[in-house]
Amino acid sequence: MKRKLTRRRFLKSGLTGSLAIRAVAATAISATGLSETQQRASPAATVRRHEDKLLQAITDEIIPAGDGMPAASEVGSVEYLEKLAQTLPDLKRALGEGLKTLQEVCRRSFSGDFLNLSKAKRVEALKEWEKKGAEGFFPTLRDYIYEAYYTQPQVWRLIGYDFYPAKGQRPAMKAFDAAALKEVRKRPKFYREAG
Amino acid sequence: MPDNRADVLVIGSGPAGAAVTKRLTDLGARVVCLEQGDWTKPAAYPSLRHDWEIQLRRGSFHFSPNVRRKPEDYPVVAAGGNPPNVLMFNAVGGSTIHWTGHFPRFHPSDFRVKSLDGIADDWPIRYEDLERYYDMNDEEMGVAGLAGDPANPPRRQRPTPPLPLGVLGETIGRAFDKLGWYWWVSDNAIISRPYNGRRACDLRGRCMFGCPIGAKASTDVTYWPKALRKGAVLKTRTRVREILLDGNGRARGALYYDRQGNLQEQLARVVVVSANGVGTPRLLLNSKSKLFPQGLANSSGLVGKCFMIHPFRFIEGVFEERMDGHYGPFGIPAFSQQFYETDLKRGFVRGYTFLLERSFGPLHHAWGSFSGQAVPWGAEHHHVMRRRFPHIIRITILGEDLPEENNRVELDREAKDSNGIPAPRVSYTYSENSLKMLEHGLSMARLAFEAAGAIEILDSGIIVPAFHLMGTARMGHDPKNSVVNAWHRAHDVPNLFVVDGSSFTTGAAVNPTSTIGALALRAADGIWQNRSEWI
Repeated sequence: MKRKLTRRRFLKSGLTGSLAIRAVAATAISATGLSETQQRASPAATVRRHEDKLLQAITDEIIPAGDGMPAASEVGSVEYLEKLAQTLPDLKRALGEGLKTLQEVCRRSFSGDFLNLSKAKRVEALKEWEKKGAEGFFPTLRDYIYEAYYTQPQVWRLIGYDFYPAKGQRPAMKAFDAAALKEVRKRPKFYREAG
Repeated sequence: MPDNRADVLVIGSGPAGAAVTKRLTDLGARVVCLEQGDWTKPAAYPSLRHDWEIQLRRGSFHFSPNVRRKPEDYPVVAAGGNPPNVLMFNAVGGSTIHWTGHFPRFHPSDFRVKSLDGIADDWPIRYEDLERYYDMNDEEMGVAGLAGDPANPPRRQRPTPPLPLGVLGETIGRAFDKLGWYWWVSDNAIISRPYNGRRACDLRGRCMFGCPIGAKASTDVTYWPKALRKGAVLKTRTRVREILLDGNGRARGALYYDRQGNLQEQLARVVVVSANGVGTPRLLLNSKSKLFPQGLANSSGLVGKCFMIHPFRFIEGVFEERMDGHYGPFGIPAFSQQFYETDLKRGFVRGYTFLLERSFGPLHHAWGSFSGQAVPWGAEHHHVMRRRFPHIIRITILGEDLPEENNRVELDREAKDSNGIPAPRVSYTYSENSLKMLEHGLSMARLAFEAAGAIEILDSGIIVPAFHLMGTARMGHDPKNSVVNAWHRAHDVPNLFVVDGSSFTTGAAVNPTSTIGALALRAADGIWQNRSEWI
């Protein structure tokens, strides 16, 4: 049995912090299939932009830290989404329209910018956005955030998922044991003759 | 006689086309197969990549041609009361590239539903006619399983022993025992021991995203290497536009687009269409002529009609214990046919199989797994995710569909493929019988999960995944009520054969690929036995 990687160990292992975030982001970015040149042209530092801060705040409300798990942004989800949006029109549209819709919700119901709301109000705003259904792009964005999170091996380790990537590596499974069928074997023929 | 004239032209290289080609080549025929897809490269299969699960939403390995949109794919327009999500793959091996590998047989009663239950039609053949071809197909494909199931006719020892049941198989098996239900370990076309030069399954799962070691029996690793060694010719990236006729109304070959988009002719003495239950009627309907203005072999008007899928419903049980459903071969570990036959007290005719199924990985669980109920976002997210992953067992209800003419494949007036050939328009509406069957299945699945100790049960509701494409050029004795005869020969065109799920008279309540392969081998024998008619 592998040693469980708790969130504390995860944080201590140095996977967070700006350098580590860039490293994680680079891993995430590489999954998008972008060239190294493209990756260098859009460094993780772009999170300083307002939209990026907004996106980070949203991803961390969708998948917050807790229960020994990191928040979405801690495993490079924002950078993953940014890079993915460059190649996927659906996501780009979901991000653009979705963020606009969310800010409208915030202005109308909370008289302010999402980033200026308390945590509780942010959750309320997201729930209101969610009520708009697929047209509001919330489910699309939520699913992309899940993707950004659950395609990361460092997350897999925390939830007990082993990928077994290479030839020769395999999960341990008990071989079939015919004793499992001992009860059903006692029963009479059950299929219907067709005449 | 032109040099390029084949004895037999086969259109499509999936489970039917591969079996027909290999069998006829073994017997001595010169066979040419046209396949619109290409060879896949196992080293590039998504199953080897960390982002394998994104193929469930997008990418070149998605199960739907409407999502993949590769040049070799064609769009499928869905319509009707329950528009179907038609799933298929276009490549050497066809949809066996990403199938689960589950390999059950029809029951004897499946060939006699009219005689036994007074519904639909009997097949013009019986289980006994097909039995030796089932065995032959098992040996060619390589199967893991166990003989002795009291709910099925006896069969030979399986080529390799059963695959592991896993914790989920043992758990649900005990529940079935508790309820007194019949169940058995499944036949899967995934080998548990080395077989015919192929490696045994290494249990990593992800089979539907390509088996990189060839343990799963896709026909590119089973039939095709042998057929090609024997001299069969396989032309990839060739899309057939129409079947050509001579002045006497006999098929003389096919007109196809090659890889560069140029029109070419392939001549042959016999033409076999094995392009699946949607692709085959599409091609026949597109092969109009003065002699066949409504489409080739369509004097009955039934080409494209009586389209059947299997009514599906996914029920998931969440357990406190780890079930590790993401490990082990994706083929079905076990099944129950307790409710397979008609019992009118249930309120519907015919019946269904319970398939005990494994699951995909963490991302698919977060998205909602097969029940479609996404893990909630926010404060509860990690708690619910840990509760579900890896703690789910899935029971799939796979019901028998009945042939109905309003469920059909036609040519769409607007959508076209990359060669300008009209796309199929597939209309489907669940019958009252199917809906009642699925409701019954849901209540029985709940019973099974409760007996197994599930702490939560999740239901997909009504869904329309069309993995199994059947019935659109149905087999029968009467030319007014069928398209092909008992040997798959078109009633209207003596040297044209339809050999795939299209030729099913009824659909049974089991996955069809084993039966498609067996029928194909039998059809090949029929073509060969009557070769004096075409040589």
